[in-house]
Amino acid sequence: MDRDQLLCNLTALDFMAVDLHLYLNTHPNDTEAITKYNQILTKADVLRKEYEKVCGPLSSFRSPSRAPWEWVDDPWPWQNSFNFKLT
Amino acid sequence: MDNQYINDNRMACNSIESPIRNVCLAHAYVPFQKLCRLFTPIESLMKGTAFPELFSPYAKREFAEPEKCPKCYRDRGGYRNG
Repeated sequence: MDRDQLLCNLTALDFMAVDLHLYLNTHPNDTEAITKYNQILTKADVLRKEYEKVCGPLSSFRSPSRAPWEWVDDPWPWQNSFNFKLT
Repeated sequence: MDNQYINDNRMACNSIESPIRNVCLAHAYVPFQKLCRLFTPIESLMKGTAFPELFSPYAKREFAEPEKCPKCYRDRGGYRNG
């Protein structure tokens, strides 16, 4: 996977985690949904680690860095050029 | 002091409808969601929800039908030939 694909898949998994999280707030006993949510978190964690290993930190906090400190490298996640195109 | 905008016999008027007797209050009911199918992660991201049953985009509509709103129809380029 190239950088954009990695980021796109990770964003999609994170989005699903948010949506299932909202569902679980009103359905706390739905074990099937909890299983699904946990699976998505695991997959997202794997992708996040892979992305950060190859492309640098996604967050200014809780993301590991090589030296020199990578967070200050352009582009930052809120810049347009950082983002992928969703088609 | 006289209030020139309000007729004296209206000063005691209550603008809120008097309660209607012997009717039930409204009850709101929203059916409880059950987990069925989920979109794939990419589909979810594109559609803005992971749940197919919650996906309801606004339908694209052509401009208003002329008989219902002649002015909207004209403003949006209808009636060009007449």
